[in-house]
Amino acid sequence: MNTIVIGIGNPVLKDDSVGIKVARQFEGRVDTEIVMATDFKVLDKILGYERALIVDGVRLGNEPGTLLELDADDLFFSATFSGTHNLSLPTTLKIGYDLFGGEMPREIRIIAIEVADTTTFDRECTPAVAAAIPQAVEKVKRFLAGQSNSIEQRHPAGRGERP
Amino acid sequence: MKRIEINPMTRLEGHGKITIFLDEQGNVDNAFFQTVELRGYERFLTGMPIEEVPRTVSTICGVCRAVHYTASVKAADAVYKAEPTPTAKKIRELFLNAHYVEDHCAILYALGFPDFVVGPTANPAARNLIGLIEAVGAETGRLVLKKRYSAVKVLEMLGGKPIHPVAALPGGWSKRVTEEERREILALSQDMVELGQITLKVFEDVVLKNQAYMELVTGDMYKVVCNYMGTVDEQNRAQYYDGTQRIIDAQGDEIGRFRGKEYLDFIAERVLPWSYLKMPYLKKIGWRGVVDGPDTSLYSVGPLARFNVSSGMDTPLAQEAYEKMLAAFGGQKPVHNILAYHWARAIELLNAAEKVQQLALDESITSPDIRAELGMPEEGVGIIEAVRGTLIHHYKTDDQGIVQEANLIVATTHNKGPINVAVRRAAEHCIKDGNVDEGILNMVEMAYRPYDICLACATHNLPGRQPVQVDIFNNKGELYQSLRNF
Repeated sequence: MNTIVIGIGNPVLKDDSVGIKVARQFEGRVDTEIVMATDFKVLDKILGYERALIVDGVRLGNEPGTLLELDADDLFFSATFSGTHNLSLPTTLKIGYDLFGGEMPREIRIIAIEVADTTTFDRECTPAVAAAIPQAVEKVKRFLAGQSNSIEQRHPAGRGERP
Repeated sequence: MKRIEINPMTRLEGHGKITIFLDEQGNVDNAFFQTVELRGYERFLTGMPIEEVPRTVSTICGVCRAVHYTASVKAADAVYKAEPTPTAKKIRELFLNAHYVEDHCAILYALGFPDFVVGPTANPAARNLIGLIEAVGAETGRLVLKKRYSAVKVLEMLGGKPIHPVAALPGGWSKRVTEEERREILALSQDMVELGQITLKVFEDVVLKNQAYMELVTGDMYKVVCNYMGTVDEQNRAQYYDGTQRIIDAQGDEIGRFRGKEYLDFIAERVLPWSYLKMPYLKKIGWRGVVDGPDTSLYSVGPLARFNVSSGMDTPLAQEAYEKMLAAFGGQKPVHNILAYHWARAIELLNAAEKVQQLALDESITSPDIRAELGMPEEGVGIIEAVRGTLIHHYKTDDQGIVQEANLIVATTHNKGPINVAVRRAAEHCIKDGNVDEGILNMVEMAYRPYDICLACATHNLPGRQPVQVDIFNNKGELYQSLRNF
C-alpha cells in the first residue's frame, strides 16, 4: 500500500519544526515531504496515495509535548482544533475529499504534537517538545507497519498522551 | 470614549489586531490595524554566509517562499557584484512567474472570490473556499486546482526542492534546464494560460455582470486615494523579476524612479506609538499622517499599484484584459478602488502564465551558461515585485561574505498606511451613533483582504479568512457585546 509521510512546519521557528523533525527521520524509507503551509500544497502531496500520515505542531492548551493521533474525521468534527497553521488543514482535506474523492488517501492519520514556543528563531525545539519526538516517531512506525491504535485508544479522553 | 477591538485569534507566525476608537457621539474617531511581524529574521541572518541566506529566507513564509528566495538571491548577486548570465535570468524569471500563477490562484480562489461569488453578505460559514466551490461547481473547482498544479510542477522542476528551493546561487542558477524539461514546461504552460482565462471568466461572470458587485468595486466605500509604487520595464510595462521601480502620485503623475540602494532616497519609515511596525511613507513628500487624499505621503504596492504605475502588460492576452479593466474605470488611472486589486490580480495570473509560456518557447533557456563570475562581497540590494508587492532585501557583508546587517521591506509593510485607511473607512460605514452593524466583521475583512496581508504565512492561509472577534466595551470598560466569525 503506497504511503506518504508529511511534516508540516517552519524549520527555524523552534517548536514549529517538530513535525518536520519527525518526518525527516523517515526520509529514504518511505515517501516523505515537508511543507510549510497547510493549503493546497498538502493536497499536491497526498493525492494519489492510499495512506497519508501528517505530523504537525498544534496548540490546544495541553502540556507541551502532548501527542494526539487523529483521523481526518476528527478534524472535521472538532471545532476547537487549532493547528500551528490555523484551521486550514481540515479545510484543505475537506476540499480534497469534495473534489478529488477517488484520488485522496483512503486513510489519513495526523499526529499532532502540542507546542510551546513557535516564535523564537531556533532550529531546536523546547525540551518538552523535543522529548516527544521519539514517541511520535514510534507512532509513525506503527502506522507504517499497519499497527496503529483505534481512535478510542489514541485519545480516550481527547487530551492526548504525554511522553 | 468607547474602544472596540477586532482581535483575530493569535497566529503562531504573527497576528493582527484592529482597534476602533469611538468619539462621544459613538461614531468612529479612529481605527488602527496593528500587526506583529516576525522581524527577527533580519537578526537571524546576521552572521550567516550570504550563500545560505536565500535558502533561509525561503522559510519566512510557506506561501511566499519563492519571492523571498528570488529577492534574496538578487541581493546576493549585488553583494558579489555579479551580473547573472542571460540564461540564469530567464530561469529565475520562469521560476518567479510560475510562483505568481500558483500564488495568485490560491489568493483569488481562497480569499478574494468568495466575497463575490458566494456574496458579500452571505453567512460567514459559507463565505469561504468551500462555499465558493459549492457556488461555481465541483467541476470548475477540480479544473482550477488541476491546472494550478501545473505551476507547482514547474516550481519543483526548477527550484530543485519545492518547499525550500535550493537551485539559485549568487550570480546564477545551479541547475540547468534540459531540453526535455523545457518541452515539459511548455506543455504545462498551456494549463496555466487556460487557468488565467478561466479565472478572468469567473470574475467577469460573477462580478462584471452583477451591477451590485460592480457598484461595490467602483464605489467609494472601498476607496483609498494614495500614491503607488511598482516595477516597470523601459516601456513602462509591469514587470516582476527586474526593472525600475516607479512611483506615481495620487493623480497619476510620476514622482520618481529608483533602482537598488536608491530606495533609501524615496522610502522613509515613521515610528508610531500605537504600532509595533514602522509605517513607510514617501520621503520626497514628507510625513502627512495616516490619511489618504491627493496630498498623502502614503503609498500602495501590489497588483493594483502595478496596474496604476504601468502602461500595460507585456503579453497579449493580459494586455487585452488590462485594457478592459481600464475601460471599466472610464479609462482613468490611477484606480483607487481597492476591490479592484482582485481584478488586477486575475490579470496578472494570466500575464505570468503567458510569460512562462514565452520563456519556455525560448530554446536558449537550456544553455549551460548559468553561472557568472563573482567579485568581492560587500553590500547589495535585491528588489523584485513579489506577488503582494515590491519586496526589498538589503544585505551588508564582511569581506568573507558573512552578513553583518540585513534589512527586509515586505509588501504588507509598504501597504500598512493604506490598510489603516481602508479599515477606518469600513468601520465608519458600519458604526453610526454607537450602533454597531454586525456586518462590521465582514466589511472590515473585505477592507484588508485585497492587500492580501502577509503576517508571515499565517494570515492568508486557508480557509481563507481570519478569525475575527469584535469586542465592544461601554464607557465603563464593561464588555456588553461580542461578535465573531469563527
